[in-house]
Amino acid sequence: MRDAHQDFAARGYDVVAVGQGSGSRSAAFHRDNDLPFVVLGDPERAGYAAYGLDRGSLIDMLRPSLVVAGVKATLGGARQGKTEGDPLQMPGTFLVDRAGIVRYAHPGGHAGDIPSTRELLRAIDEVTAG
Amino acid sequence: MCLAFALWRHPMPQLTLSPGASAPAVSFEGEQGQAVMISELWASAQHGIVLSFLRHYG
Repeated sequence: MRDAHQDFAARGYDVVAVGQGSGSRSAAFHRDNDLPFVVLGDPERAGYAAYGLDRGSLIDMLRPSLVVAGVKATLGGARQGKTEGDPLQMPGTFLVDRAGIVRYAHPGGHAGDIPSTRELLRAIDEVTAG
Repeated sequence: MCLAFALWRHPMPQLTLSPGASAPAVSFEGEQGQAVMISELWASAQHGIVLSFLRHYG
């Protein structure tokens, strides 16, 4: 997401990340990693719930697709930080336009189910093309 | 066996927000603990926002 920030910005989209920690914890994550986008906190996970992001099960954590996603991320240089909040909380990514309309929704089916940058950029291009 | 089946059948995340739906205008917590309305962020963007809910930091 960090590397793709410029591509999103060039298309008129700002990146907003939300973590399960407090606002100060999220800000520290932002500072420590010199991220070019805002990181906000949602310690009560009310936003996660409002956007329909469910909790997974223990079995979900053992799905082969999650293991594959983890290996790919690790090989790509990613290192998982300490999980804070609910470890079973699923991630999710949405495109929301200036009018507050959801243009793309990707609720995570497992812990590592995050859309690729390429998929997000393609979704933005499709929205822009109308 | 029953426990394993119950865990396996645990409901997956439901796509409650389909494209075209109104995004919930919730607030999140800023660095100083202040409420940050997500609607203000999407309204101030040129075209919109990529809203990413993280599972963990890092």
